[in-house]
Amino acid sequence: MAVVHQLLSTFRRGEPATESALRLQVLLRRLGHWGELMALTPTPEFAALVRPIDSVRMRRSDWLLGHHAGPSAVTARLLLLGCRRALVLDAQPAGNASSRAQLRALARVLAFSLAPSDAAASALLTAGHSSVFTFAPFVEADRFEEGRADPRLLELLRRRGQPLVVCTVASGTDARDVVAFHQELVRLRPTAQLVVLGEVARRSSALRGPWRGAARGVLFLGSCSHAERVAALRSAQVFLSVSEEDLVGVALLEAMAAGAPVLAYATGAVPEVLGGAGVAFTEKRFAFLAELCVQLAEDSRLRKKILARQRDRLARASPLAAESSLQRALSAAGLEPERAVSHRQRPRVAVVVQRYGDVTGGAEALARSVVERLAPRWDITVLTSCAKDHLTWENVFPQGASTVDGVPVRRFATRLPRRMISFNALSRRVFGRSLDRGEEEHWLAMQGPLVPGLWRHLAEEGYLYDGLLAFTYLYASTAWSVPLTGKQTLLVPTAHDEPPLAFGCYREVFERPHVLFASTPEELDLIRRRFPHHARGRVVGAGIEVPTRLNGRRFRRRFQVSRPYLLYVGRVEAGKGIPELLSFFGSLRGAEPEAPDLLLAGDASMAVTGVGVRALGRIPEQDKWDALAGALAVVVPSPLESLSLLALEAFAVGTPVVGNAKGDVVRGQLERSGAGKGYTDAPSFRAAVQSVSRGRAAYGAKGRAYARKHRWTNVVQAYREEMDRLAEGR
Amino acid sequence: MKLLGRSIDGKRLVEEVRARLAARGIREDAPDPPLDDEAPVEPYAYLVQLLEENVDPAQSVRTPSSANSLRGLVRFAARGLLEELFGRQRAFNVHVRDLAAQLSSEVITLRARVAELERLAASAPGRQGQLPKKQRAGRRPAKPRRR
Repeated sequence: MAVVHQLLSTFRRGEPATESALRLQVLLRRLGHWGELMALTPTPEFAALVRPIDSVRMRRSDWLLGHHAGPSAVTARLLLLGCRRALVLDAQPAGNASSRAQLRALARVLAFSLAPSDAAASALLTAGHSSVFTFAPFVEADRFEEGRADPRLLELLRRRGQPLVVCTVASGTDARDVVAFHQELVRLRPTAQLVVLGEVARRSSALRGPWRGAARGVLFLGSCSHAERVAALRSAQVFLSVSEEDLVGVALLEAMAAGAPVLAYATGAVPEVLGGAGVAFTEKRFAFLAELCVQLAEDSRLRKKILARQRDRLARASPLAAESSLQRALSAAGLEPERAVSHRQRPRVAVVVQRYGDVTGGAEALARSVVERLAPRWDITVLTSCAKDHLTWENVFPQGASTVDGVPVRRFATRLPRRMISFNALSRRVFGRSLDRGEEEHWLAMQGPLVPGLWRHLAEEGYLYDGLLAFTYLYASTAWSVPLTGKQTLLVPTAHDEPPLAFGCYREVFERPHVLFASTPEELDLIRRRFPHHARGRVVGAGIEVPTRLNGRRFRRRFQVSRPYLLYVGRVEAGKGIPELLSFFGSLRGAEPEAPDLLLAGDASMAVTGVGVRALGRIPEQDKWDALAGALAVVVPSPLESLSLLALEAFAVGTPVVGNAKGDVVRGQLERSGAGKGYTDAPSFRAAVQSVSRGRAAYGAKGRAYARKHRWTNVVQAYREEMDRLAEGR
Repeated sequence: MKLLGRSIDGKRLVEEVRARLAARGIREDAPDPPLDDEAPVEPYAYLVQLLEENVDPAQSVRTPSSANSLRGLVRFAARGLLEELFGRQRAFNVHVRDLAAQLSSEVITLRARVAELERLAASAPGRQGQLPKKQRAGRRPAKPRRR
């Protein structure tokens, strides 16, 4: 595998080079290549996703793919940089001599050029490029389903006059053509509507410039959201393309995915992208096209035939098909994947986890427990960040090689700290919305941790490992590592029912690994519902090892606890359901002043107040077990759990659990064990506490019986079996 | 006009549409000429031509037409003038940059070629491939003897 960076002049959503780079990034990752997305002009808004070129330290062995969609300073950079260079031709403005001159100048210095269509390849060959390789574009069709459309706009557009034609203003679209067409259409059908997608230049507003005369029945949606774009495409009776420069044709594929019959000018990449689907025309005769458009809109039989053929065509424009075509192109260009090393007696395994060592966090604790138990059998290297705090990803641990409990750990610096205010603001904007791939990738980059050193290591040396064991699907460190190693990956997703799980960008994280180790049956069900084509899943969970000596009185003495108490252990933060717990506990104490106290043990990132509430901070491991043993009940307030280790630990010491039953996982653990009570509101919380207080011994016995099934020997055996299966398949 | 697509009968569809157009009294003219492939552009010659076009930023700059109107209009016009001047200067700089980049690239390529040739010459057997030896320092060339 190789490091393949991409260079743009400017990162601007909707522009051909930007969209092409985002699509290519996805495919390159799936082929095991990692690289930065770079731009010559800094874009502070997208700093997590795109880096200024001067901030990236490139090596001579790195590849740099420059994007050409017209004349730009990318050419000068490509001419002078010392690394291995190649070009992607995304668009070539008609009649632009500067663009052609730059392409010609690059012909002599590039190792190869990539063309997203035969039309682009032809333009490159004309410019004197000798090593030209073609790859196919793709569309993620499910992003254009009806459910992804903005319902209000969809309804509004469907209520507007008929026929409704949608067109995109992209490079090479002459507004005068669209206006001329619309005028002809209105002559035939006075109620005809035209929806224009894409940024219309400021001077070309509906009242001035080339759009003058088309204002009646025209709706300019501009740079609209993905949901609005889908609504427009899905309401279209005809999608019209009059572009003369389209060398990629993704807009046509998107229209097909949205179920709109495509009518396109047969130039550039259009004929090959349509591949016999839709209708291509050879002359811009607008009276003729208006007649044809009306027929396409009103002749349901003709329309059906066209849509059926378009659906067939779409099957060949999947990400998988595009991945194969890019792999062929890159292999021909000399970017062959490294051969995997043969399986050894002791498998060499990389463990990828967002943080490791002396850190608080359920997934991190699980990773450490698994690593410590597998280290005698596997040659493990933990690949992780230098971060201690998962909110900021600030580099705290030193970069480079070290050991934790005798296990080799390699830490990579995070590139950017996470700014929670802007990240939360972005999350509020995107959660629950229909997004395109670029928006999701941007959110994931903002989520972090951004560890370019880790990805470079996997791209360059990943083939030296027999397998990759990755933890927590949610973070960029895992989500962008798993596609690099694909089938060599064992993933412990620790998935919760949370908004990001709806993002399509996680599809390859769940679909490409060798196996998914789910923590509970509920987690596997959740993954199955969201990603029906997920990799084979196996419920493994975690084992529990209770220290031999437990002493609740010792804990009480050390922390001066005199009253019965409810205990929570873990990160004290809003995401773990602490504010709700404090509110319910406040109601309980208000109604019953003699109710037990509430002790919270763990790093706190929020203020903890209330009568009878005490924050202990992080406590040593032995104190934690003593506290668990001495508690009246353990509280699990988080509704988002893939497995509550805290509940398992409480069961193991015979302490009942009062758990948030809004989450399927905790509810499932309580139901299967019978060792606690669930709550959903303040009255049920009060009832649950009363119930476990009365029947603590009976609940405790059930808990102990349940915990005995969760042994590390079973867990370790499952991991080893899967690694052996992986080795057999190599 | 041709209509392409495997889900349609292109010829029949064209005829149907033409018939409807004829019924409306609209007749198609001669077909549009096909779009030609654009010829490649030689970068050096092209950039030198661009440099010549943009070498003088003040050349034939449009003067404000509203000089006698309100002050604001004059200011507005002056801003436009400056923008145009800067625009030209920017364009000029871009061309210089591109040309410099291309020339530098050529230098790099040629240097690499020279280095390669020197390496080949040094490793080639016999005197044929060797470069002429330098004269030893401190020894004058022998003077021709007089007879």
